[in-house]
Amino acid sequence: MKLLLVEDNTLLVEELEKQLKQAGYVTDVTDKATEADYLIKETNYDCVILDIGLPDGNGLELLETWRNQGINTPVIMLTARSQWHEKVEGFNAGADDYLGKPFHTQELLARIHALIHRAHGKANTPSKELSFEGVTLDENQQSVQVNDTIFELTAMEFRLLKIFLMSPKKLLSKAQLTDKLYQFDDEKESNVVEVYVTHLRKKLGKTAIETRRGQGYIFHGLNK
Amino acid sequence: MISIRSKLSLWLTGLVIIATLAGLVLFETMLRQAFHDSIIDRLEEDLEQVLMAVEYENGEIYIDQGEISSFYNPVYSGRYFQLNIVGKELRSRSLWDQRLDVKVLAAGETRVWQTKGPQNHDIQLLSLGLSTETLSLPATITVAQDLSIGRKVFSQIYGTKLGINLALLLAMITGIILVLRQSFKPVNEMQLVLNKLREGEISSLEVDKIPQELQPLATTYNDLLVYSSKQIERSRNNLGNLSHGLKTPLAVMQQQVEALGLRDPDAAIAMQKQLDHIHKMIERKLAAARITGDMLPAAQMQVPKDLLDLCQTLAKVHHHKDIDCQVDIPSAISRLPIHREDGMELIGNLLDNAHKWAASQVRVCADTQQGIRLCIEDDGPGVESHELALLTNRGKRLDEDTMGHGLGLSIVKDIAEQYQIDLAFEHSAELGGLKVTLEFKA
Repeated sequence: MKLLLVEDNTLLVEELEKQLKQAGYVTDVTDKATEADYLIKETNYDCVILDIGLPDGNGLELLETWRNQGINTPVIMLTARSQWHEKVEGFNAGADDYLGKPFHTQELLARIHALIHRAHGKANTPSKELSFEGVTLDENQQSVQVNDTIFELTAMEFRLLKIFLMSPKKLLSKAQLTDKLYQFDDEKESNVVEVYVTHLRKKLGKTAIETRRGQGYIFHGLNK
Repeated sequence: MISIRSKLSLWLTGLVIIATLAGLVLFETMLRQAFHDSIIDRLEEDLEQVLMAVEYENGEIYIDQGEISSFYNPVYSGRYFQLNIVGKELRSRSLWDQRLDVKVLAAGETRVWQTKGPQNHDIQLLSLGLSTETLSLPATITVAQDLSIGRKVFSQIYGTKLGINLALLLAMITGIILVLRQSFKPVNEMQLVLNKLREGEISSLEVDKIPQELQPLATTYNDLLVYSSKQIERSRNNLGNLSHGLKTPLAVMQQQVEALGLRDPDAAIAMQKQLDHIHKMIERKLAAARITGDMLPAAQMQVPKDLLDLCQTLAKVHHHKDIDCQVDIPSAISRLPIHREDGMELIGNLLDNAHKWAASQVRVCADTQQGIRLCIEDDGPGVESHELALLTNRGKRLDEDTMGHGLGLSIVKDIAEQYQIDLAFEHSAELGGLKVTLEFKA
């Protein structure tokens, strides 16, 4: 799952980035509205965390432009402006959620989780479990339960499996998957998806993930 | 203090009445004098004529009736003469059986006086003492005129004059009242305009529409209005900025404390307590300081728009609950007398609470029986009766920590206090949950 964090306080970003990574998210960070505008058009983010006061612009205006341009990525406003009239402005601009600073990281993570689930049409399960056809991902433990066996997952495996579980039975291209596994300016290894699909197949069984030559992958779970 | 208009009305009416009375008195005096003078003139002429008619023949004095006016013939005609010579009186026929009580005068002496004459009418008399060579005896000739007819005419003239003057007086008083009412119309309008301003229907006085005398006042008032609203807005913004400025570093510290928690939980808990305290102070005290009680119309809360916005926002905040939020505001209400930001905070907190507890329905309604009354009710579990009393009790410190209802009540209470809004908590008869009523001062 890939996030965009638009926030200009470097100390806050530093700590938050760590926490988000630990929670299994790949996060692009920027402190500029213009850069955020560029990134969101280049990358398919699952969620954007957006501050209002940015050095080169206003987060609300940026959000409004996005919504007007048909960019519907879920957005959480993360701002010190937490009065009700400000929340109304935020939601009217097209925000999906609004969190006032200071905040507890767990609260933010819960909201990101809820928002991504909502965006994928999943019920908001507070248990933080994601499952499909016998494969259950425990997001807290970053482990997967297949039948009665629990496998630990590496960070990359966790990210990849979560992407599959969010969009089961859907064709996902290699580029789409790579995009979500890496930060924007990371050096992308060309065969990373193949490598981790192989890893996951070892734990879930060969048929759980189908390869479509030249097109991408489809996640089927255990019922194939 | 007595109003300028009443003062002017009283003064002007008084002056007009005094002027009219003085005019009438003066006119009466002059008219009476003229009347008197004309009668004396006439009597002098009569005297002349009667004198001319006095004949002396054979030691006998008589009056040639052919020489005198025929007015002296009819009985009690109103014009009389009488010639007194020692022991003898020659009287006009008109006197008939009456005689004039005449004092004998020395030669050349005249006397003008009034007395009662025939038929008990007032008469004016003129006597002249005579002396001739032929008549060594002293004689006094007297002519008289009945005043009643003249007086009747005099009264008629004076009565007409009085009537006309009184009518004029009434007209003038009516005129004064009308003119004053007309002149003070702008002042009354200004009062209405000021009321509108206070209720927030308009944002400044329209100087062009105000009479010249009051224009400097209006301009100053407008300037003050702009100045104070700027001041208020600035302090509001500054406090807002301060609050935001504090919250961002607080957010950083919050992150650091959470990170610290992994290594040194005890220290982290202690720090967390302090952070929570600072956060609470910012949320409560700084937010309270931002409440200005300012009701400038441009900044007032618009209904139902702002309420609908709040409901939409709350639907998103509580998206997992699927709550139907009804806003039922009479079209007569288009604004709430409260600064928009404060109103949003006040009603936002109450609506948020309603959404938290509601099963499926939240309702906002309003009426304007005495001032504006707004109610927010939900179909949640409601609040126990004895706790309702605690909530409503104004003296009681309402605190979400102690009440445990999750009400953002302290800020709600602060705002309500600042705007003198009455807060009441009761059972919702229709929905079954909590009903909060806000009564805005009329």
